[in-house]
Parts: sequence; structure tokens; C-alpha cells
Amino acid sequence: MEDRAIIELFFARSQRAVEELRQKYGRQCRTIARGILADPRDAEECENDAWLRVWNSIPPDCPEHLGAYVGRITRNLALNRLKFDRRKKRGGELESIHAELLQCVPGTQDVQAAADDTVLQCIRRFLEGQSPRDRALFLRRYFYLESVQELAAPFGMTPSAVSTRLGRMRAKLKIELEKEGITL
Amino acid sequence: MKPEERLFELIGALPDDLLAQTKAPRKRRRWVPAAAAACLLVAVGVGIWSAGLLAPASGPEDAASTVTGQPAPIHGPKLNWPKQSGAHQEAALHLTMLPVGDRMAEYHEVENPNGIPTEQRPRYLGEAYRDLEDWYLPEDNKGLQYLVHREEDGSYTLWEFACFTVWEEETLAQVAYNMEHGDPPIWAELEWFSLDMDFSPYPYREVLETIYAVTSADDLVSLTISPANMDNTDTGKALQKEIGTRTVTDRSELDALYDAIADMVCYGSGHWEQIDRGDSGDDRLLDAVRLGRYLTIQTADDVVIDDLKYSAAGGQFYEYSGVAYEPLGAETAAKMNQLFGIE
Repeated sequence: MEDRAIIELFFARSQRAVEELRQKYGRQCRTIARGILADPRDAEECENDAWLRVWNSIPPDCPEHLGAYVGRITRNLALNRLKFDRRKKRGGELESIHAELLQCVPGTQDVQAAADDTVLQCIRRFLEGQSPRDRALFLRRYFYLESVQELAAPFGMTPSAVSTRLGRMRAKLKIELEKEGITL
Repeated sequence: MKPEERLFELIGALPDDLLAQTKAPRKRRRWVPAAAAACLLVAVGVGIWSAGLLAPASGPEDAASTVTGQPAPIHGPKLNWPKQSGAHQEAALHLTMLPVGDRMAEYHEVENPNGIPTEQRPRYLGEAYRDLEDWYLPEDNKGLQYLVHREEDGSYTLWEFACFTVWEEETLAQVAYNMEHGDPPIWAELEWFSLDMDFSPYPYREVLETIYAVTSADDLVSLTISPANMDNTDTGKALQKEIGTRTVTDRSELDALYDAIADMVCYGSGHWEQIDRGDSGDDRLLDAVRLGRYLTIQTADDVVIDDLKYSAAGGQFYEYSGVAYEPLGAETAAKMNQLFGIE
């Protein structure tokens, strides 16, 4: 079902809205939640919380990109669970992603960190400067938490080629951050 | 918060319009009915000829026909591969999936087709391949080692077989789920694709027969054995020189090779963890050279198979991209070690 039709169901307060949303974006949200939270029960709860959150926020929200919208909600809910209960174990994918992103961190750490908005704008400009293919690859790995193996088939690449491509992008991002004098 | 954690969280704050740009761009490939494909082939030949992208055939056959007065053999359009400038070499491997028999095969783009020896290099465009839009067989090559793809700008690219796709149950289930939900849409776009295709591990005999047109040991003409080259320090190079390269044409030795490789089972690509190259010790790279050999097999049809590598460490063959084969039995491995001169 088209995103617009699903949103219309939400606006009509139809119970079918959540079912259609789950059908279309369930896998995506599950990947994100399970990537961040090690315990599958936590991930499942997080996914259900996301559907409820969407139910409560549309309307008044009327997102133009429903996939990104619900993805962000799931991601934030999962991260909040980790933050509020540090005993919870981080998901395996998150561990790998943190290790990969560490390679983007500029060397100098002894000065005050840049404001969130400055860093965000730099990442945004960096991504907008990439080819659509590379941009998609980066976002699906670092926002949607898809594994390198999962990314290989849709991009027509081998897993090792995906890793290499992502590695080059991380190196480029680090250079961009350094060029702008950004510290994290 | 650690810097990498902060970076991860900030990526989550990117705007929705950017986050929505997640489609993997791919070329559409569609079925073309057989008659339409034949028409397309003619149109492609005529159109490209007139655009000057394909040169008239001017091989030795033409010269001979002028001398003897015999009619020149009829060929499809001649394939002129672009010359490599050497200034830019793209590091990315271009890979595509194509149907072969009831399996799905991985093909890699050949970066520099002119680097292939003349007698093996595809020179003329042949028939459309399985009625797939823009895919052709080279006219002068047997088997399916090479396929030709017509690009959007009318140029041609050459693709070489790498391996058949092997998927475990879990991957198959994931793809089935993706197909059902249309996300990502790739599998639905490949009209030839079906979950009923054979994704199981396969005997190398299937590759020999289908891809290289080798149906028995008699089809093998020679085997050239070279040292593995993963250690290029002075010591490594000295060892490679000491091992040397030699070519085997002895019938019984070629028979032994065929018997060993025809029945071995391939697990597909991306399985480096299943390949023991003997490079885990202190002198790991040197050991890998000592125990490894790269093979080039020449067939009676002038096909050259140069993907197979062997390591006595695991007693197994393998290929680049982590294409792993099941380890040989002890007796067969001992025979291969002897054939390849590994002590």
C-alpha cells in the first residue's frame, strides 16, 4: 500500500492503519530495533511502542517520508531504552557500527566539542555530495542498521565490496569533519 | 557519550528527505520475447554499425577470402573493446546476477577485455542470451565463460562467470520475505528470478560442463602451475622463483586433476572463513606461498580457466571472492600435492 494511503488510514483513525504500517515497515523497524538492542524481547517491545507512537502522532503529523519517519521513531525508542537502563546489552550490529564510526572521528579531542547542529550540517553536506548509490549504502548501514551481508544483494556487490565502499566513505567523512575543524 | 556514539545519534537526526534516499539504483533488466530479441539484435547491429561504434570485420578470415576469392564468413558485428587509458582505474568490482540453467550465476565485469589473449578474447557479437534484454553470447566462444552486455550509450562491456549463487535456508527465507514485501524491490524486478531456482552447493562438474564446455578429462589440454604470490617481500619473491612455473600436458596427470576437481563441491562466494591457505602461523604469508599454487587450465576449445587456486594447508581449492570448495579427501589431496610439487 502506498504511504499516502496508509497515512489516510491513520487520519481516518482506522485500525487497519497500524496493520498496513507493520506490513510495509515491520521488517525495517525490526532490523533497527534488533540492531540496537541485544534482547529480542526488548526489540519486540520497542517495535510495538513504535506503532503506538506513530498512532499517537499521526495526526497531527503528516510525514512526507513515512519510512524515514517510522524508522527514526524506532531508532530513538531503542536508543532511549539503552540510555535509561545501562544494564541492557547493546545489539551486535550497534557494536559493529560504533566501531566503524570511530574511524570517522577526527583526531583532536582536547578542545570543546562542536555543537550538534554544526556536526549535523557537515554530515548532511557530505551525504548530499555522494552518489545516490553511496548515499543509500551509507544510510542503510548507519541509520537503518542493515548488515553488510544484507546490503550486498540489493546493491549487486559482494559483502567485502560493501565493506570496502563503506570504509572509503568513512575515511572521506573524517576528512570532511577535520576540514571544518569539527571535534566530537 | 563517546564520539562514535554521538555520531551515530546525530545520523539519526538527519532530515527525512535525506533519510528516504535509500533505494539501491540498478539497471532494469526485463524479459524480451524471442522474436523481439532477434529484431533487437539486428537493430542493434545496424544502428551501432551506422554510428561507427562497431567496425567492419577485418580479421584474418577477410584477408584470406580476398586472396582465395571465397565468400567471407558471415559474422555478427565485431566487438571493439575500449582501450584502457591507464589514468583511472576504478577499484569497485562490478557484479551482476544472471540465470544459467536453473541456477543464478554471478558474473563480474572484465575491466580490460584487451588484456585477454587474442585467441580467447570475444570478437564478434553472437545471439541474444536467453532472451534477456541487452545480454548477448559472444559468437566465437564456447560455453558461458563470457557474456556481453550492451550499455545504454551503445557500447559493450564484457562479463566473466565467477560462480553460482549458493544460499542457505536462512537467506532463502529472508529473500522470500523481501519478495513478498517488495522491499528491496530487486528480486521482483528480475523477471527470470524464482525461489524455485537451485541455490544448493554444486559440484564443479556443473561449471566445467556449462560454463567451460568441458565434458571429460580429454577436453583438458594443459595445466600451468604457478606459485601463490601473496608474499612479495624479497624472501617471498625468492621462494616464488624457487618454486617456479611449469606446464603439465601428461595425460594421466590431467586425468588426475579432472577427477579431483569435477566432483568437488562448491559452497559459493564470500566464504573466506572456510578456506585454509596456511597463513595463520608466524611466517604466515611465506607459508601460504609455500603451500599455495595458482592454476591455469587450457581446454581443447581454447578456453582458459584461470580462477582455481589450491592450498595444501587445507587440501582444498578456492578462488578469489572467497569461493570455497570442500576439502579433498586425504588420498586425493596427496595426489594433488604431488602433481603441484608441494612437499
